[in-house]
Amino acid sequence: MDRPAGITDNRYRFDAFSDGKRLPCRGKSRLPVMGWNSWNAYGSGNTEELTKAMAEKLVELGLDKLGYRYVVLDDGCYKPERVDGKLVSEEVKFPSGFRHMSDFIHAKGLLFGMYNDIGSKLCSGASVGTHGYEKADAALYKEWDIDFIKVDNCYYMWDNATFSDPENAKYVFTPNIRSAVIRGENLKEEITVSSDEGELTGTRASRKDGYITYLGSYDGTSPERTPIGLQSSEWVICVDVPSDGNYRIAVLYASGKEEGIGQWLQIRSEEDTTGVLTYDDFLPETSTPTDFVWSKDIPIRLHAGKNTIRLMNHRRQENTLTSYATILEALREVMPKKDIVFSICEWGKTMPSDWGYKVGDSWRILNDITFDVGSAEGDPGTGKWEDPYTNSITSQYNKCVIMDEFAGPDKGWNDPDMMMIGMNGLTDTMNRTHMSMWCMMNVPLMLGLDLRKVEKDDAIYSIIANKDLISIDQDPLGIQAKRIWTTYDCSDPSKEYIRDNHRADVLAKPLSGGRLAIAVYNLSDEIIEEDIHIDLDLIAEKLGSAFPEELKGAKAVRERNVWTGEESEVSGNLLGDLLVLDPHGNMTLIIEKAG
Amino acid sequence: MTVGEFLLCLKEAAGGEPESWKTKPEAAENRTAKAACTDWTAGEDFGAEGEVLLRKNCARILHRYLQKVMGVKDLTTGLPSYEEVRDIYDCRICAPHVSQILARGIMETEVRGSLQLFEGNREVSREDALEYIHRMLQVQQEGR
Repeated sequence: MDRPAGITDNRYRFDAFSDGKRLPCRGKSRLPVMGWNSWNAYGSGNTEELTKAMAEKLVELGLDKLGYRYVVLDDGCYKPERVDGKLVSEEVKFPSGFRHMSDFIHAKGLLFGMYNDIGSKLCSGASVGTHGYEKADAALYKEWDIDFIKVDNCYYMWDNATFSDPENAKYVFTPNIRSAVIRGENLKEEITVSSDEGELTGTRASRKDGYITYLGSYDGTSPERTPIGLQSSEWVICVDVPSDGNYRIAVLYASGKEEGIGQWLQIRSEEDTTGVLTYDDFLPETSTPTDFVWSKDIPIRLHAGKNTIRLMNHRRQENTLTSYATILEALREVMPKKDIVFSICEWGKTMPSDWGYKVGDSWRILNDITFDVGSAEGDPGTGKWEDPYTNSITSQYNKCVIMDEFAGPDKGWNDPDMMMIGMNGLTDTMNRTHMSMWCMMNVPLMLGLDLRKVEKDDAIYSIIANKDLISIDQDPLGIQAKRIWTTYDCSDPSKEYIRDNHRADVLAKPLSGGRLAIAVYNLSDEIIEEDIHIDLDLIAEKLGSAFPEELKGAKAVRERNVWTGEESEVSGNLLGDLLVLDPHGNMTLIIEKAG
Repeated sequence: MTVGEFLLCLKEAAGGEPESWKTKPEAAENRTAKAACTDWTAGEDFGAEGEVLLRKNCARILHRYLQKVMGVKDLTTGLPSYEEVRDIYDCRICAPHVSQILARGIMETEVRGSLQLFEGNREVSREDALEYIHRMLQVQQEGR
């Protein structure tokens, strides 16, 4: 039976997520990548001819010189079935094959990116996912001389989230648990721990009708839940035994295959010092999620005195990390010196901000920013400013803006998806704010439009080629902006997950050279005329040690408006006396000490 | 029903067999869905012909047929939202197709408790498939 990989190495375990250590396969540190990806422009209708045209246009417009160097083929480029176990280019769309495409792009001085998936299929449904073919595919990617790979998460075998079999909840939650019992030769009588005892960590699990349910992690694909703080749950129990030795543990449980109730249990004793746990497997299936039965006795090592035993299921995160690492390890094996960007596209499902830095350069934080992508026939697709789901600029921004703690040069980058600039449904004002938001949040800048429609110095060009904004995104300090203030009533603007767009936000981002970037966003559809007071003291308080030394105690600063180029010397309120911002508008400033 | 069978049903219901099969009997011997539909299925990722037809792929095929063969323009209003159909974005590559097919009443959602779901991973029966084709053809007949 195909099943999740056995994990014996602690580095792939939940407990190592916070240790700050990358896996050996992880590539070098880099700033967020910039380039063009085919998906938003053409969906799965991208072709060799169109890709060549985009590469030529990147160079013609000089966008490559500004940093847009990666040209990435997204889903839809492969034949829908493997041929002799190998990936093959879709013959109608890419008749000359991928090596030809790669050579063409490299000859332009650009870099070549491709796409695959940790599951059995790609999101398009093509049965060419990397699972089980990691080494064979890595050899082909070497042959195709890739510089970048985006790895998706559709049809992942061991999760019940988007696209998989709903029954796969059995992998990602523990069964419902009514009690646990410890037995041993040294115990006069067995120790029983009922569900109302012990501690429930995280936010997911709860006690219900005498049992514990929802032990596991949540699906972060949709925008409802905050990415901040410990979200997954464990049942942590404490038992006191008289001597070191081998004991046995059993649980009274009932399994299921639905959100919150699964079949996979992990038990970790304090004596489990390697990645091998006391138990890490399915329990036998029960007839219903409330039909409780005793598990068999499971050997457990305990020490004299009080022992903490954790009952949990972190496999949703651990399996996903392991699958991504398996692909990257295969790529490193065949291309040990090649500088490959590894772009994790698992839509925030398993909180990749916790573990993504171990393998990836960036990690998507939500499902797609648009589902209404363009086509090869000329439709540019449609983007939205706001939407209850993930498919809008503000849906992605609202989550990403509080995730600065996860980003940095020694970690990697949050990825709120490719940009939608150039799509229908977005005004120039929205596009400008979109660009400013992505640059302030220090995220990858991937264009997703048909570049043949762009001319030098037109409205779109002036946005995507804004050098000040690109310099903010590509600043060598690599610090994601922090939201330091909002008109929304909340106690901590930097951490509170706010989805109500009737507000304005102020972000501050330390830059190299003792400078700062400040941005104000009007997320609402009404004009803002307000006296918003933001001074250096407030910014220093909010940024703490990240606040530039050079600006400490500065009486006056020089401000540069990145949209107008206007410069002025300011003291006191950096935003002026009365801030007027159009609906969906922004003001973005670069600040340095005057004189 | 498989993807290939559905494509053939669609071809037969909508326009009969390709002319080449009538004039070249040897072509008919190799009749596959893709051979019958090379004009509009080229470059599309509808899944392998032998693959079981799931509702999400059924919606993709019907919508692309509406667009590419029947020349029907997409609806821009009245499309279902995530709040109305909670699993509409589960298959993101299918989402725009599912939206159009639901909005036109060609396929329908199912009620599960307080939720409406599209249930894209469920198989399509032959009877349902034929009904969907029938409804799709009515779109053009009724000028919707």
